[in-house]
Formats: sequence, C-alpha cells, structure tokens
Amino acid sequence: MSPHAADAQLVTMYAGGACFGVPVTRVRDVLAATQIYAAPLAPACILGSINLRGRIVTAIDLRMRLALPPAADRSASKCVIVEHSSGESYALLVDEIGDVMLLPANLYEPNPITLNKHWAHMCRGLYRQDGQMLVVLDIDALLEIEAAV
Amino acid sequence: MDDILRDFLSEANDSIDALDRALVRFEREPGDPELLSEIFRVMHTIKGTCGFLGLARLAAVAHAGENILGQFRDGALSPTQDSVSAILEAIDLIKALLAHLEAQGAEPAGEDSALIQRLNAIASADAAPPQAQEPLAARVGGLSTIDCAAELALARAKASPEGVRLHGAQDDTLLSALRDGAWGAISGEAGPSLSATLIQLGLGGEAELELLLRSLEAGLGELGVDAEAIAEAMTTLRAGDAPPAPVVAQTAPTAQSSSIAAQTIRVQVEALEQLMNVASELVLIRNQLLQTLRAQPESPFAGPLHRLNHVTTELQESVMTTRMQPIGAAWAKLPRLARDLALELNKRIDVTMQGEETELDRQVLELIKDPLTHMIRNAADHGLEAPGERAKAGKPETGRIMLSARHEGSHIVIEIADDGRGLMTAKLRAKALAQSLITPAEAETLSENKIQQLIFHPGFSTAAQVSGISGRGVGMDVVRTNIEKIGGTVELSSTEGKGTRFTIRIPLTLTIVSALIVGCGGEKFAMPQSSVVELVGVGGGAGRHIEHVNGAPVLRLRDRLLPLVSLQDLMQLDAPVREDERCVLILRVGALSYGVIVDRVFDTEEIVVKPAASVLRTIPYYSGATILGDGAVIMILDPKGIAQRLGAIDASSDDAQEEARAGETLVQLLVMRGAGATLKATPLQLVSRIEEAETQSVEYANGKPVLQYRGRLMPLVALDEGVRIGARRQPVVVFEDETRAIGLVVEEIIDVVETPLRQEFKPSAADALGSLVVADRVTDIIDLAYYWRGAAFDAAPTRSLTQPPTKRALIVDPRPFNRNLIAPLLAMAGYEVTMAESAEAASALIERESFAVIFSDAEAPVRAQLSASAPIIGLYDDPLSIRQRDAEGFTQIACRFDRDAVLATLNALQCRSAA
Repeated sequence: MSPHAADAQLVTMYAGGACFGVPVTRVRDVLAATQIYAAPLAPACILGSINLRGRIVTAIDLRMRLALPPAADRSASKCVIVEHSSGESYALLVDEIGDVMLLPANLYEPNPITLNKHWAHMCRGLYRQDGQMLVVLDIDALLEIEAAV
Repeated sequence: MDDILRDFLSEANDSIDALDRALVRFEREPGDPELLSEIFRVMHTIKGTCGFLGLARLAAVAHAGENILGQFRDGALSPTQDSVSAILEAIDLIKALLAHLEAQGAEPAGEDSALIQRLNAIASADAAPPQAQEPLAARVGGLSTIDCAAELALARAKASPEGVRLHGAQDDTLLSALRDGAWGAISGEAGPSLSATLIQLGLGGEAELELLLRSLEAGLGELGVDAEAIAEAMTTLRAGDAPPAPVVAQTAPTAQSSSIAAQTIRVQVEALEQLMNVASELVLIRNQLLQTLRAQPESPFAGPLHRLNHVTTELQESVMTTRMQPIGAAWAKLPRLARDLALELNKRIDVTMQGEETELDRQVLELIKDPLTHMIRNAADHGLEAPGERAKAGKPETGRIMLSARHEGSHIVIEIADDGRGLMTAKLRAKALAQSLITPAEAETLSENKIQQLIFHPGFSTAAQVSGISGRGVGMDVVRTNIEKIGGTVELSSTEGKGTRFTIRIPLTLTIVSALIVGCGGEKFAMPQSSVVELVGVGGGAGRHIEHVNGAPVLRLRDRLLPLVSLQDLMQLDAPVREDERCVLILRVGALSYGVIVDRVFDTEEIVVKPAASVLRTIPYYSGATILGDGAVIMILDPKGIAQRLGAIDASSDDAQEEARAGETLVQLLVMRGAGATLKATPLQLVSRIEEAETQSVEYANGKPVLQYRGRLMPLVALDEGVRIGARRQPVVVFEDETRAIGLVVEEIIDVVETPLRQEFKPSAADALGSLVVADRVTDIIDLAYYWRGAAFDAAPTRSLTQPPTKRALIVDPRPFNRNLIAPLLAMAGYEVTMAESAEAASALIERESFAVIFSDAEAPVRAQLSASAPIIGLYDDPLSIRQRDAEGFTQIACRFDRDAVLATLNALQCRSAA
C-alpha cells in the first residue's frame, strides 16, 4: 500500500522509545503479554511461539529485530499480531500499543538518508507530526529473518 | 460452468482412466468377455453423455472408438496392437478435449476427421467388404450410431426454438423413443414407431416429429455416416411412420449407475479439509480437558468428559476414513504407462498389482503419485532388459514390474519390484568415483548396500544416455526427499542379475500422530512415536552407561554400538543436567539406528502436527510444532534431521560391523573375570562347556581340586591366584579333547563378544598370550597351554601311551597368537609341538628333525618355501577368505578356530599313517 497516494491508516506502537506504524489492514489482533514457549535454535530475535486460541504463532521481539536494546521487563510487553503477505501470522512484541491513526499524505516523507542502514530495508518512510516521528514498518521485510543455524 | 458440466467432467475423467487400465489389460487378455463388456460399456457411456450434452466433437471421437470396440465384441475384429493403439489414441484425444472443456467451458474448435477416418478404417478393415446389398442398418453404422445420432438430435432439437414443447417430456423417454423408433424403422425390427411414441408422450404434433427427424439427419451427418445411407435411412423413417402402434409399456429409463450411485456421493475436497481441521482442533481441546481433569479426578465433569473423549476419538477416526482412498487410484495410470514405455523401448513389460484396495490418506496419495511414476519409468528403462537379453539370461522375455501395498501398523508399505538386471555395483562404483562422490579408498571398502544407496544422491545417474524417459539424474533423490517430507522412508535392495526392489513406508495420516513427550534442559519436545524403537535408561541404577569413543558418546546395546546425540547439546540448552539418570531414545530412520539422550520421558500423546513457522523451517531438527494438552507450544523433532548431526558416522551400526567384517576377521571371545582387575578372554571355539560348580561338588585328589565331569575326574585350575576354588558356587569353563578335560574356575562369566582380531600383542604375563581391547576394556587372552600345564597332575594320563609321544608337530606361523592357539590342541592329541616363526626357521628345523605333521598358515606366503615329506596342513581364519589356489599345495586345509576340524585332519592323518 503506497503511502504516497492517499492518507494512511496505521496502528501505532512503541518500542525502545521509538514510534512505529503498521498498516491497519495487516494487523489481526492486539494482546497483552502472554506466555511465550521457547523454540530452541531459533534466531535471537525470535522469542518462541505463543498459543493464540489454538493457533501457533511465532513471536518476534521488535526491539531485537530493530537492533534496539532489549526491554528491561518483558512481562509488560504487548503483542501485535500481524500478517505476512503469505497469510502466516506473527506476533510482534512491543512496549506499548498506541492508537489507530489516520495520517495525511502530506506529512509523509521517504526514508531519510541518515536512517540506520539496518532499518532502511524494513521501513517504508515516516510521518512527522509535532516533532514526533512515526516510522512505517514493512511487515514482509521485517519478517525476512535469516536463519541463525 | 454449470454443475452438470462439472459433474460430467469429473465422471468422464474417472471413466477415461478406467478405460485406459481396462484396455491395456484387454490387450493382454483378449479372450476375456467381461473385460470387453466393461470397456464397451464405459466407452458407450462416455459417448452417450457427450452426445447428451451436445459435445459433438467428443461424441464423434468416442463414437469412432466405440465402433472398434463393438467390432471386438462382435468378434468381427481381433484386437491387435495397432487397433488398440488407435483406440488409446482416441482416448488421449478425448482427454485433451476434456481438458480444454474444463479450462474453457467449451470444446475446442476443430474436427478430428483424420483420426476418425483411421478408426473407422480399422473398424471396417476386417469387416466383410461392403456389399451393395448390405443392410441399411449396417451402413448407417449400427445401433450405436443411431444411438449417438439420437442424442445429438435431441440436444439440437431442444435447443431449437421449435423444440419448446419437447422440454415437457423426460429426456430419457424422448431419447429412447427417438432411438428405438429410428432403429426400429431402419433395421426393420419391430417396435414402436417414433411417431407413435411421441403421441403417447403428448407430443404428437407434426412439427415436433419433423424437427426430430431433421435433427436426426443432421446428427447422422455429423457422425460421418455415408450421405447415401442417411438419405435412405430418412426415407425409411418417414415412410415407416405407421399408424400408432398398440400401447407399449414404457420401459423405465435405465438408471445409470443405479445402486452404486446411491452409495457414494461427491464431496468437495475443501469441505473435507475443513472437517479434518475442525476435528483436529477438537482433539486438542479434548486433550486439554483431559489434562485439567487429571488434576481434579473428583470433578463432576469426569463422566461426561470421558464420554466426550471416546466420541472425539471416534470422530477423528471417522474423519480420517473419509479422507482415505485406495492406493489403486494412484496406480491407475501405471499399466498404461508401462504399456507405452514397452512400446517405446521395444521391451515386453508386465505390471502386476497386489493390494490395490489398501487405503491411505488422500493427501499422502497425491504426494506419492509422482515418485511412483518415476520409479516405474526407472524400472522399465533401466531395470528391465530387452527381450533378447532376458532370454539369454534364462529369464522369461516379458519383464515384470510388481506393485504391492499392505498395511503395517500405522503405516502403509508399498513395494515396487522388478525382475530385471538389478543394480550393477561395479558400474555404480565407477560412476561414483568418476563423479567424486566417493574416494578411491571408499570405493574399495564400502559395502554393496552402501554403494547402492548412492543412487539416491542428487545428480547421480548411470544412464549412459539420458533418454527421454529417465536418466536426467534428478530422479531418485527427489523421490526420496518427497517421501521423507511426509515422514516416510525408502529402502532399496537389489541383486545383480535378479532385480531390484524398493520398499516405501509411509504413515497413514499426516495430521495426527502419536508422539513421545520428552524433556531436556527444562524444555519439552515431541518425538514421533513411529521412529522410536526402544527406550533405555542410563546411569543410576539402570546398569547401562554412556561410553565415549573418540570423544563421541555411544551406547552399547546388546553387542551393538549405537552412536548417540545429546539433545541438550543439539539444542544448545544450558540448564543444569543430572548426569546420573537420563534416558536414551533409540531411533530408527531407514536403515540407521541411533540414540538421542534426553533428561526424562513424560508420556505418549496424540498430537496434532502443525507446520513449523517459515523462519524455523531451515532448522533441520524440527518437523513441525504442536500444542499440548496444557496449552504449551512445543517443537516436534525430526529423527532424520537429527541423524544428520551424526555426520561422518552415517553408517548404521550394522554397517559398521559389516565393514569391520570386511576388513578384519571377527572372532567370538568368551570374556570372564577372575579376582584380578583385568578381564580375561578365550576364543569361544575352544570352549567345550560352561558349568557351574557347587562348593560341595569340588573334591580333592592328591590334594588338587577336581570335579566329576562326564564320568571322569576333571582337574580344576583357577583363572588367577585370587580365585578360591570351591569357596562358593562358581562358573567353570571346560576345555577338553577326546580324553582329557580341564576346568577353568572363574569368578564370573561376563559376556560373549564378537570382536575383530586385531593383532596388537604384548604378552603380559605367563598366563596370557597378549591383550586386546574388547568393548573398550583391556582384556587378556589367556594362554591355555599355561593352564594345561598347571593342571598336570601326578596321576597317569588317562590316555594309554601305546605310542610314545615322539610324534612331532611343527607349527609355522608368524603370529604368536595363531601358534599358541593350535599348540595346546596338538599337545593334547599327543604330539610334541615345535613352533617356528618363519619359513626359514621352519626349513632349518625340518632339516634337523623329522616331523609327523606340519601346520602352516594358509594365507601367509609360507607354504611355497617349505618342502618336506611330512603332510602340511594349511590353517586359515576365515572360510570366506581362502581361495582355491591357496588350498593347493596343502594336504588338507582347516579353520584354525575349528577344533573339531583340526582334530579331524589329525585323525585322518593318523589313520593313514597307521594303515
């Protein structure tokens, strides 16, 4: 969904002090902290799996994925269930969940050159409002996690 | 596309497959009338339905095919390869037309007059030459043509605006009317005329009749009936419009596939999938409820929950049954495939099937269709020889491919065997070497089975030419991967010259499996029950211990050495581990057995297999994930993936022993323990019996302990100093010859171990010949001669010395073990034994003294250098290693471990010298 043509409706979330947004059409659910069952040998940012009403959903720590320092207390984290383009669901662990916001196209900016290289391919631009920056996440790129083993 | 067409397509496809199969069988068994009727019936139905639906092109082709079949049935034409091939061609065309119909919703434009003409030509080839007087019925093409034309006509008529009223009548009735009426008139047979029937149906109008007749005419034209015949037929029809015939009881329209249709119903695949998913979820919830119940056995929910449990299990099983299909469905196309291959390759191929009704999950069926096809191709192309070659090999000219299927527990076992030339090990070896898949060393030492396994290697193909059929070298590895992906195994056994057999084992269902829940490092995992053959407790009071060989953990289990994998290491779990009590799961993957060390085993559960997340799919140790009854998500382990961890040791322990056998001789040693720390051993071959002596049975003669044994007194000697004879019940190992026996008293008999005879000797003590490492423990091989000498007692030997012991025997062998093995035997037999290490030493001795018999090592190049007048007996270790030419030059040969054989040769010599 191109943020250029129209206003974007994003679910906002906070991780490591930064604010991120995911297109609302890709968000399936939001949950409070829930038990994560370990999956040994998975890449570091994959914390394991959660049992979502009988479905097995892989849990990814957004902080770790974006190379941000890990949260002090993970038990307070929230989960955003997002959908990969293949239909598979994943749980993103974030610090806080914000509102669903409608962001006007004129506030959109493409990735600044100064953006952290590691983030660059996972972000699709950002919105600036009142000095606050909201980075739009590319879900598919976010979920392209290289195998650790 | 409307429902009628959709139904027609699926039925037609099934029918065509059935027709394929039946026709191929018919070609081989042309004398089977039932088969022929079936074929005819199927083709007729196809033709009929096509006509009914107005599918002119399909109808025409089917009709032409049916013509030939009709000729077969009437005996006017005998099935030849050509005619059958032609019909098969027609079938292929029908398949293509059907495919187009499915894709586009309509038949493709075009016509097939060429094929039809060819078919008709064949059909009429053997028929009587057309006579001018040939009846109209025949010229028109017989009843079948009229049938077809009638259908086409009806379709056309109803489509026409004038045919509005025709819709008011039942199609079947109209059809019969048209057909019977037309046929009656044309063939001259009696029967209700068309017009009469029409009147009965309330369609007596002229318009309808004329419409139908015109449509009939057009239909006949479309079917390629000769124009003159058509004209004549129409005239006859119109003329034969007699006044209404007496009321004829209407025959009920023949219900197609009557009773059988009532028993089956077509269901969308997606609906079944959904049903399966929901049933699986129910299973999970049931597990969860049961788990909760375990904590509260007194709960009022207990009763209903148990009933729910039963019902859920039944539901699960029932749903699984709906997904089951007989494997014959996957085999359907194979006979036709084989026939075509046979023609293409100029070979004779016969496919036999057994167990086609064996059922398996629909999903699994789909997945094995391609592998099966590939293996049939391989068998036909590479396995089976050309008829000439087969005849030369004394085999019947027709090669056989045998398919069989059966259930075994929760698996289905499918075998594909052929009686062809089998895998040629030498060729495989060479090819593998050329492709650098194996090193030259490996090429020498790898067993035949291991070489055969190489065909599963990607890119491996020994086909000299890549034929259009197979030999692209992408085959068997893909086959194996596909089968293993669904949790199955492929095994291969082949005998050169005789044939090859592939055995595929697949689980019956993929979704719900029985799994063992194990714990390791604080985490739980599920191991599919089907791979687990045994559970072994290690450490603690269990008695077994994990040993290490070259740093790798192994477990000795009933004389096999199994490689082990530590799950904790594998999963990089670092929770503290109780070394003392752990558990080893013995797994079997194909031909490989190995063990996985876990901390504990919980229980067995029926789990629903869910695919692992895509990001985890690269980890080879997982085959999926599941949710336990308590809601926990755990990973399902993949035995094959874990086996890869074993890396270089990718031989099963059986293979390891085989290789050991190939390289070295194995000998069975009786391992025992005296009072000392070192174990002792002696070749089992030398042992006569093992007795148990009670304290009170030990008696004393001349102050020396003896035991009454088989009617004589047997002296007892202790294995070592610490053993106190008679202190308690002790095992006694008895060695004997014909006259004398000696009992070796030991503290404990440990085991019988098969071990390679590695000649590392350091004669350590007087009572030992040397030491070996047996099952990782240093063991002394005892020198029996020492013990015999120890048992020498003052009592005269029981053997009467009619012959003074001046018989001298010479033993020539570079190896002390071998020399000492025979020496006691010879001594007991009354010979004075001299030993020589080499041929030179021996020759020197021979010059100085005369020997009655010389024993020489048969395998070492000693014999050639010996020249003596005395008989020379060759001794060998392993019967398989001795070759014919080695045996020449010896008076006799015998296995040195075979006491009886050695003594027999001695006896024979004695008799000869006595005579």
